[in-house]
This record gives sequence, structure tokens and C-alpha cells, in this order.
Amino acid sequence: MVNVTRKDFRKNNDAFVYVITTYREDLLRTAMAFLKNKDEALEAIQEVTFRAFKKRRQLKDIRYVKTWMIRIMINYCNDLLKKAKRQTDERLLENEATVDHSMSIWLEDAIHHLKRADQELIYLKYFHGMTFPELAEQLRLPESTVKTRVYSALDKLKTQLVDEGGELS
Amino acid sequence: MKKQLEEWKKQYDHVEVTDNDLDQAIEAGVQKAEKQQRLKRWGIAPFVTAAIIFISFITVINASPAFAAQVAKFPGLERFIELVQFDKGHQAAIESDYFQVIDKTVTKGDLMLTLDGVIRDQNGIVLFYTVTSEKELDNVRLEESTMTNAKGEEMKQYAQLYNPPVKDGDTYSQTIEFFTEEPIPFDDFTLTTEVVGVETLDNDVGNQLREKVSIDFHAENTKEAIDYQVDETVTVKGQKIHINSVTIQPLRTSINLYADPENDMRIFSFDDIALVDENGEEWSGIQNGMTASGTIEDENYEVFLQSNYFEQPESLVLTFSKIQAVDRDKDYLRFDLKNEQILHDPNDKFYDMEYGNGWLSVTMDRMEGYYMNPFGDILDLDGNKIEQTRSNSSHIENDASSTFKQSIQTNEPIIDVKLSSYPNWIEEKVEIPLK
Repeated sequence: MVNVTRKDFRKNNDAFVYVITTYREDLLRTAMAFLKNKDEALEAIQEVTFRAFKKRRQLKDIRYVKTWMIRIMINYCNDLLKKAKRQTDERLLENEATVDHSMSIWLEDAIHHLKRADQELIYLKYFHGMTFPELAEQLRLPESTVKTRVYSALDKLKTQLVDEGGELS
Repeated sequence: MKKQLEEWKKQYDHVEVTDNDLDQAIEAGVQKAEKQQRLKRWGIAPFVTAAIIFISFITVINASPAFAAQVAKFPGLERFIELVQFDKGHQAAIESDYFQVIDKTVTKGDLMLTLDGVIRDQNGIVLFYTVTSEKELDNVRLEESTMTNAKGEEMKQYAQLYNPPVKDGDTYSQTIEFFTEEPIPFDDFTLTTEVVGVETLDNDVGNQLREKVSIDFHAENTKEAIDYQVDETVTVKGQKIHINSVTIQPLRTSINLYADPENDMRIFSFDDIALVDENGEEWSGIQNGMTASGTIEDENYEVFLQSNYFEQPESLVLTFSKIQAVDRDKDYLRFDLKNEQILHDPNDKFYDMEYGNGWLSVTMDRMEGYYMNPFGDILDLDGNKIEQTRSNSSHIENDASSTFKQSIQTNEPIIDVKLSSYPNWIEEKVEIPLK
């Protein structure tokens, strides 16, 4: 937990920079998982800093700041990949005139094909190591709901991996 | 499963980025936000946006009284003016009353989808739609769209094109295009699609809304295609090009031509191909959508142009003068991935090659109007294709340079990447009268 008040975070630039600096490693690792590229990950950090700075007044409680930033990062990366994919799809269409649905068999690709709410849960729980009570607090949901959602997301992952011929244990 | 997730996480535990790089990125982000805030205070950004929309609206209306009259006829059609401004064919179809109004709306959850209308011909259909919601949304789009007939049979062999919707107040409008190889064999359609949007609430991290909906509609094709059989071969700088035919339909013109496989140059594209009438008016390539289909040395290759179906020109000439091509034995880039070096590049246009974390990037001097991704098939040095599980690419345009990036996964130290485009042209004016 960072030692900054919500008021400072909103009004004081140094406090904002201090907070985001505290979580820079978490943001970087998240970006790398999506983008696989150091330069793009750094660009993502810049963009997420930009977005978070613009919207810092809307953060309801400083306790949620880490989750909030990670979620902004996940959303940014998704949008970026979607844009890149749209370009690629159009190129594929030009060549083949059919919609290409080929997907990777990797776990990571399966995660990135989950809907965003599920992706966020998997990242927060398994990438950033949050416990169920922490998730419940951060997302302002009952713990039972969080558990149900995480397990259902894991089920979807398993199904996807089986469908794509990946291995399971 | 948990074990695999744990391993997945571990991969990213050590990323080699210096704290200094991270601090710089953070500082740059804050500076960008502060700069934008200053601009906003002066009111510059909103003014510029408004002016652009305003001007384009006036231009379109002035350009064609018929278009204005049609737009006035259907309330709500103004929304689509922006969307058809880059396609003369779609504009002409609306002017000529060939836009079929559907105006059907389905509501599910917090999302409402309206199918405003369609333009249909024998091999294609363009749907004009609008999404609205009580909630404030970002990133609105349609996904997983399919088109079936009344019996639930899907259209055969079709291509689908999406663009991100244009926001206007609380509505989002855009088109989806479907094109088929064979004529579409039915007139009663069902569009099934997922309407997606992210609640703006809670700033960028809001819930994603997603609803699957279907809309039935009827749309007939009443326009016969106009065919010109050409069957000519032209030679440009020693390269043979066979031109078979030109087919004009309401949504687009398709030109069936191909490069001779025996040519000693590899042709990538016909960059300024167009139809020209007696007044010099031109119908050129598609600006925003599918530009061609097939491979260029195959006799089924087709290039698409904006349609002039609704015009009655006295004469019509097919013309091109700029062909993108390189010598056939030089049609690849060779990279030393380990030492980040370009070992082969036909005209040495690229530099600053980098490879890391599965992304390869190269840079070239910026050329106005050239932004095509050069990367095609990836081969090892024995000429075997290295299959990719995913293919992402991006393009960054700077003041003086252009950088192209491509995801490439391989353990080979040296690879060849076949060119799919290259900034080199053979130029000679070709004119083929059609009528």
C-alpha cells in the first residue's frame, strides 16, 4: 500500500509520479505479457501514465490505485493488439477472401481471448498474486462472486486449450 | 492449470528494462497529459475537430445536389455522410436511390442496434448500422458477425470487413461489408452479431457490455453487372500483364488481371490503376477496405475500384502507370536476427533493423503515400516456410522515417522474409479503351 492520500494523488504531480513509480514493475510485466516487446512496453507505460494522469480525479479510493492502473494497462494493450489484428485480418482477407480464425494453442493466447473482465481477473489473481479476499475488496464484489468468476474463467481457458489441441494437466 | 499459470507468470519476472527507461516513460506520459490540458484550456482541440467535420459536410453537399437531396429524404442518413466520403461508388448508389432503407432496431440489455439500410449487388452487401445506449460507452463495435438466409444457411466463401464506428453524440455509426465469390443466392437475410461496448464510467476500466442480437431483413439485387471482356496482354518494361475483364457492379468494380509468372520481375501491385471517362474523371482504388483478392500471378487475381455503375460515360478507359515491382531473384529480405543485421535488401531501402521478444522491425525514409507492410512469408535458408501461430504487424510514421514491425517467432539465426510490397516502381502509361 502506498503512503499517499487520495487528495495528494489528485492534486500533487509529485505524489502521482511517486505512486505510479511504485507500481512501474507491475505495469511493465503486464505490458510485456501482452506486447512481448521492450519498446512497446515502455510506450505502453507512457500511455498508461498519460491516461491515469488525465483520469486521476476519478479514482474513488487510493486503496484501489494498483488494480486501477493494471486494469488501464490491460485495456490499453487489448486495444493496441486489436488494432494490429484488424490490420492483419484485412491483409489475410485480401489474400484468401475467407475469415481466418486460426488461434494459437498457447495458454497466453487463450487468456487474451477471454473477455476483458475475465482477463483482468486472471491477471490480477495469477500474475499479480492477489488473494480472493483482496480481489473482492479491490473489485468491490462479494468474495463468492469473485470465486465463481475466476473458476468460470479457468473453465473457459481449459475448454479453449482442449479445443485448440493444447496440453492440460 | 495452476502450474501452467505459474510458469506463465515466471516468464515475465525478469524484464531487462532499466529504471531509467521506466522513469523516462512515466515522465513523458505526465508531460503529454499536462500539455494536452494546457491546449484544452485554450480550446484549440475541440475547435479544430468541429471545423473538419463541418467542412467535409459542406464539400459533400456542394459536390452533388442529388446526394444532398437523397440525404434529406431519409432522416438519419446524415450520419453516414462521413463514412461514404471516400467511396464515390457508395455515394453514387445513395444518389441514385439504390440505398435500401431497412430501419429495424433490436434492443438487448443496455445496447440498441439499428440496421439503417443496405446497398446490395450480386456479389456484395454493405450494411449501415447505428449503435445507441443509455450508458456512456467507448470502443463500441460489432464482432463475430455472420449473415445467413432465412433457413440459417451461411453465405458461401465470403470476406467481411469492419471499421471502428464513428461517434456522434451518443450514437455510433459504421458499415460492415460482405463480399462473396459466387453470386449471393438469396434475398432474405439474417444478420447475427455481437454488439460490444465498454462503459466509460470508472474511466477506461468499466464493464464490457456484450449482447448477441439478430436482425432479419429483405434486400434484392436489381442491378445486372456490366461486363467488358478485354483479353489483352500488355508489356511494361519487359513485364507481361494479362488483362482479362472488367466487371462493374454498384458496390465496386473488379478488374481481373494478372502478372505473367514467367516475368523476370516480381510484381506486387498496380498502384494507380483506375477507370477514366471522356472528361478525365477517375474512379480509382478502394481507399478504405478490400483492395484486391487472390495472388497477383494467378489468373483469378482481382483488383477492386470504386464503382462508376451509376454513371453513363461516353467512353471509358482502363489505365495504370505505376507498378510496384522488384527483380524476381531479389524479392526477399534476409535478416541476421542474432546480430540484428540486414543481409539482403534489393535496393537497400531499409535500415535500423531490430529483433527482440518476437518482434522484428525495420525503418526506411518516409515516402509520401507509401505505407504498405513489406513482410510476406517467412522462410529458413533452405526455403522452408516457418509457420507462425499469429501474425501481428504495425506501422509507425515519423516526420522523416517509417518503421514497420512484424511478429516473427523462430529460433533460426538467419531468415528470409519474402516481400509482399516494396518501394520500387516500374513506370509506363498503359491505356486500354473499354468503350
